[in-house]
Amino acid sequence: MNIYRLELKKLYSSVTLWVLIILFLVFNIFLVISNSGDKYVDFIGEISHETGYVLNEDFYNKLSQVQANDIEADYLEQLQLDTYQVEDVFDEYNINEVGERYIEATGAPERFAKIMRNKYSDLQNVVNKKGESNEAMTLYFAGATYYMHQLLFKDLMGWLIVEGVLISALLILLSLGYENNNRTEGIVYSTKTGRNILRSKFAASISAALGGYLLLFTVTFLIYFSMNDYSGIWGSSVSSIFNYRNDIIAGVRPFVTWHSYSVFTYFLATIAMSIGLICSFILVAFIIGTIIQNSYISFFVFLIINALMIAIPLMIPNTTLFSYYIKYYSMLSPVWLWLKHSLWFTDGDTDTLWKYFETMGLCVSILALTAFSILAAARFKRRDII
Amino acid sequence: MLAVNNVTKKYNDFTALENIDLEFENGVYGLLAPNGAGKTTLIKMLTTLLFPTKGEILWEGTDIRALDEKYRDIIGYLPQEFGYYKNYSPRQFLDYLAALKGIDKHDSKEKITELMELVALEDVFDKKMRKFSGGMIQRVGIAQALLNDPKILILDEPTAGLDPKERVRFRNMISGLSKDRIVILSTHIVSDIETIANQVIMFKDHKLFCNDSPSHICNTLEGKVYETWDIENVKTPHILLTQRQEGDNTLVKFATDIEYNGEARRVTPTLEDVFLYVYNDGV
Repeated sequence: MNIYRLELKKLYSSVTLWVLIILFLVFNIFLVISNSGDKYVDFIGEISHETGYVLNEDFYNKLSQVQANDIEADYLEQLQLDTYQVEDVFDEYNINEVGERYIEATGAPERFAKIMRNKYSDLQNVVNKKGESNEAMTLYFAGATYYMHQLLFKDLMGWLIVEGVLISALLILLSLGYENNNRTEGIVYSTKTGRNILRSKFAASISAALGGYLLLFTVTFLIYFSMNDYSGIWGSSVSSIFNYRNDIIAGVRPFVTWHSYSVFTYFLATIAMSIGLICSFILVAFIIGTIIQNSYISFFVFLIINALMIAIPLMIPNTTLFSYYIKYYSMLSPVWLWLKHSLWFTDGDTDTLWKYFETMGLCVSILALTAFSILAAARFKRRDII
Repeated sequence: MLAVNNVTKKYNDFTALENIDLEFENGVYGLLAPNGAGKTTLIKMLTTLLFPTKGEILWEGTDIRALDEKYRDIIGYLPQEFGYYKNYSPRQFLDYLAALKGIDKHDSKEKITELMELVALEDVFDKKMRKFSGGMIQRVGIAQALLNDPKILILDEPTAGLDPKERVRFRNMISGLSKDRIVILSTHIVSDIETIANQVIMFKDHKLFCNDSPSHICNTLEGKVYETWDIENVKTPHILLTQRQEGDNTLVKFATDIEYNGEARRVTPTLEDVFLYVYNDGV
């Protein structure tokens, strides 16, 4: 415990860590402030306390009784227009077509096309259930839903993951390379604790990394939610009729999740997934850091490896079965899971073959990387310290 | 007893040490060889930083790799290039190393104060080490090696960076420490071990050249070392050892395997003479 505490102290004493945290916070606050303050969003946040967020008769009755002042009249009218005679998007909605378009666009070989068809067939059942339960008939942010959903779950969450990953990688590589950088390998690794210090370094790095992420996350979202009132719409479904997604192959289509998520539960699930993803990047950095002892070179290698993981599936032409294997399995890698973070808990897109791709990818990544980490640690214990 | 049994260490195609057999009991052992002879390689193997390519190192009959932390618990090590955390004070740094050595926090506090006094650094106990001189850093290094009161104290070039006064102080300290422990001291400076080593170990061509007491090693050159003011007239094949300037004249010490009957005085060989004789191709 004492060693863990002392290793943690080394990390928190790093000037680079605090400079990065301040820079990231400034960036996040700028992102929040420059994208918040939409009066219509504020109005919905306020009015939802009176009307509720479920688009039923009660909602319309209450909405019709709302007394708006001159300034709010326009927003009230806008909301009435947005919610006027809306229909459930999931009624009679055929999502199998999306799957067929993806198969056609990518030219997926039959064995993969079959998996894709099965996925969309299962998703069709989910869509039907969502239709039966009127899950989509919720307010969210009405006409501003897409913008607000993208701001929170794509932009802010995406940047927070990047920041968390960079801080985590930096911390673990700093910790693992600390003795090499200070030329203290000899005295540290010949002590009673010896190379077993790796455990304390790993535990301290994970704690510091998650602590750093939590700090960024807390400050960013405290400011975000103080500027954007979600209190009345937390219970709205993320698959609301007002939410949608858009890609060049399938066009504009409803935002379909495998399970029923309210904005709040989707927010929590996304945080949990983000933490899991950051942990998998920590393992990547740990493996690199135990092999390459120099922190700066390790960080560079970490960036190169992730860049290659992005580039390889994009550069390999879809000409052989092997190239499809590379493409589809690459999507389960941490860096691709990050790139697709705005699609978590949905069917994904053209390259995501399996349902629950994010959960599957995270589990596969964590398992594989844990195995490699154990091997890397075992190699480190046998390695000559020259 | 610490035993090195038939140990060879190779780095790819390069053989750093070959078939080394050594045994260490309590006392001071001086590893004496020029730079690059394999001293640091042996020391790093004794501290488990390197692993033998062939052979084994045993402590009380058990392989030190198998003993793992039980073995590391009884060693104290000062590396050749002693690294430290520049932003730490000696107190913080020794606190950290005490934790790594598994020393109880309460015990370590007392021990650290005691060691700081031993190495005469008590006045700069809480000063950041970035401002320390080479000698002060080396003294912190010696203190950390003694933290766990080691049964095996391994010091690689410990007097590097120390001024003459500190060297003498260090030698006296080592003599005092060697009574109930093994002290292995590597150096290429003969005077570091001449007076304090019970045994001197020398390597040549990456093999063990000798492992004997200083007097026995000196005896190997008995009758072969001479001093003369007129080296020009020494025609017998010889190896120049040292020169000393006195006024306009130079007193030259040389060694020869053939009995010399010219204008030269036979002298008692010193350890430095043996060192220069053995490694004459390098001097």
